[in-house]
Amino acid sequence: MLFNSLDFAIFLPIVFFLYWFVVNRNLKLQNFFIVLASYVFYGWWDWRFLFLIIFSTVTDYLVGLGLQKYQASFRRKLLLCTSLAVNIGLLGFFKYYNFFLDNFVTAFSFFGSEIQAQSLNIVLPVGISFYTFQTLSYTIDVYRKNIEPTRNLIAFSAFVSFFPQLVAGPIERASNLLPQFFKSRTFQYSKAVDGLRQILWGLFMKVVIADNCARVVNQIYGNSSEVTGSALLIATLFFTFQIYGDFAGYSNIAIGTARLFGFNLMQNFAFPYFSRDIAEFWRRWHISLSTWFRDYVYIPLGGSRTGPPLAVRNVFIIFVVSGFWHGADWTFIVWGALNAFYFLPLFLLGRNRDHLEIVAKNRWLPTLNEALKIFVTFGITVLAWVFFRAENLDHAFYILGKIFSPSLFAPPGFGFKTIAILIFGFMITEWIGRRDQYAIEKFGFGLPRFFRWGIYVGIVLAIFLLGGQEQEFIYFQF
Amino acid sequence: MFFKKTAVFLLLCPLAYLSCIVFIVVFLPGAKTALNINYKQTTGHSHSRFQEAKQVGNVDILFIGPSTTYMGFDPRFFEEEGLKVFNLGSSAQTPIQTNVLLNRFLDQLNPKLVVYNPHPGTFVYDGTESTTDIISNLPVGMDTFELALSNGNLHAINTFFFRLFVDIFNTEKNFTEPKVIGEDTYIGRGYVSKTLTVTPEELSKTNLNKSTGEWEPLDFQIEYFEKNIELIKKKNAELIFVIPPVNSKAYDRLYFSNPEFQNYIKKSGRFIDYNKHIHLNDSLHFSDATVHLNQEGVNAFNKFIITRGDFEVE
Repeated sequence: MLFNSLDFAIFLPIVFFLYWFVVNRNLKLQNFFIVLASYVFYGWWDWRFLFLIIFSTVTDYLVGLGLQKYQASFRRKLLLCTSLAVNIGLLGFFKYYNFFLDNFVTAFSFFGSEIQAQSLNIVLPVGISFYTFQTLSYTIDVYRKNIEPTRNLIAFSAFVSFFPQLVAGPIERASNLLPQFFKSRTFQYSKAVDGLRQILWGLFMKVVIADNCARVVNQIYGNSSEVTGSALLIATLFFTFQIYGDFAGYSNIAIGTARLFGFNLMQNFAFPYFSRDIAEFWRRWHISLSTWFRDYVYIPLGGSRTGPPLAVRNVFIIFVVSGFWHGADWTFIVWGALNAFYFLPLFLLGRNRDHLEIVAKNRWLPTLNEALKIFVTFGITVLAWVFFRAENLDHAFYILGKIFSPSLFAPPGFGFKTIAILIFGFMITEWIGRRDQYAIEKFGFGLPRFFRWGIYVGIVLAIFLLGGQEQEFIYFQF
Repeated sequence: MFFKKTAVFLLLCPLAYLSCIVFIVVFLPGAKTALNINYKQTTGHSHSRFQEAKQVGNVDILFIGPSTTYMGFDPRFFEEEGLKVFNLGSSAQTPIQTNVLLNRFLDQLNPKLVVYNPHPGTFVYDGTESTTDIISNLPVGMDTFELALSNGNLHAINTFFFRLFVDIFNTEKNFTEPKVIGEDTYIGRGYVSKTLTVTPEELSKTNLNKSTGEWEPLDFQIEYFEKNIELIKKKNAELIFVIPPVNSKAYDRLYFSNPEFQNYIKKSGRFIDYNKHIHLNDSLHFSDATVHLNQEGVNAFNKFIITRGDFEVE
């Protein structure tokens, strides 16, 4: 079920009403209802894949109990490996089987051996990369004894399948989300209003910004051989906002929806395009995934305490693995590697933690130096997105080649004024609200209610009257 | 408090939305395109066709389907044979829109034979373009409201409300659609003629993506296609499915030759794929490099049908 669909507009109020008015007296019942609603939400797309979620849930639940029962190191390692094998095995099969097979065949043919192998027509279950990482974080944390395993299967199932963040994150940690299923939840006016406000902003980001940009991007990238370098540059810029509007928009809707039900999810995007260097960008972009890789891959590998050569290797590994997580294609791997190259100079110079606070925290405008840094960081990010969006590596290099050709100075051949104005207005709003969790969290708080409501109604009207053609969320494919 | 305020807000939003639409209808009709309102954006003379359909009584033959229908069957040829016909094609008409049109006009036109042109492409997409075309050009009704909702696209919903207020304020009482729009001339009885020919250069330049994948019709389009067949059968009209001649490149590349599509239509009733019976010239007989016949092509095609006696009615 898509957040930007009529189905969800009907589903959400029904679930909200039943949750707060029918099953609200009993916590177990409320959790069971969340599981039920989450399975309906997921099964709406394809009910057969519910069995995968259930299988993953039961496996990790039992592994958690096993880790509590056994103290012997060997058995505990065996249990952890079971969880890793099941979750990564599922992910590997559904997402990476064909990629590895194709590359295996190509590699052998390079050395002169011909292998006959048949690719499988595998449907990628929506959200598999998200919920497998979420359940893995549980078993790893239990293994490390950072958290206690739960005996409550319903609460655990609710944690794995919680519908607001099931298919595209934020990838929650058991230490944050799971305990919330054991606390009785009371309806809080301010939290619910805040949730609605965040949903509204998420919808705006998705429907008005991302979907409008998508139309141009699809058209230009689909006809890259027939358009000018300037058109490709504009399309790449639009893709930069498309992917942000799409994914950060989804995260806002997810976090806002969770708040409606009394849950707090982690912030997933913190105004990444105002970053002053690439290290700051990665602290602000898809935070739940970046911190996941930091905690469960980078630190176990030794992090930065292993000396420069190994630390560089570790940095490289997490960026490349992060790229590969996004998709089974060389384009994503190159995108990850490119970001590693952007990051490494800062890392080696010890400058990767220079900018921990949001830019111009106590000022209206950035300094010239800050503005320049933001511009450069944004620019190199835009170039990296070419690999993320291109059909394959050849296509990506073709696009980059064309962008850096004389045709960059030719007219783009299409109008983009309206979208440019929308993006400009959007970024101004983001700038004003950059100190908060999301742009309009406190927008207009000093103004009379009439004006504040006027802003919200204006956003609703913008969604209807300026929204683009409905597109699926990009991150569903991951 | 939350529920009260949310209810007020939820009431306020539709009011503001409808006020905005009224404002656009009355004061800013030129701004509609920029505001997701695809009102009468599609060429194809649907307004003239639907207006005329209201006046026409019983017909012998009714043609339905997408643009290849209203640009493919010239009523003048059939009238020469003493047949009264009407062409109810519309741009990119998919089965769900065919259903709306049949429900609106089938009783009144009361055809003896329905010639249904099931373009394979119309089964595989949701049909926003054709939805807004139908909504723009028909008076508002529950059927067009359901059509807008079923499409779910903002453009369809906004266009529906725009049309609602056009009807309420009667802003188009003096509207007459020009007979000639661009290269299209509305001849009458639903038919649109094009004299344009496609040059060999244009033909070679047109690069149609080959539909190598399977023909995967959407479930709801199949459902409506079957509903349409039921409707026609209930009316005791004969039904024949036809694929008019299309450009030879398009035939292979736009699912026309797809065996799954062909078999599905064959199973549904009598089916004639004219591409297997008549060979037209890709340049001289078409107005573009895809599927649309020009008047020369229609002349050749319609004479061929009449010679063969494919559409004989009792």
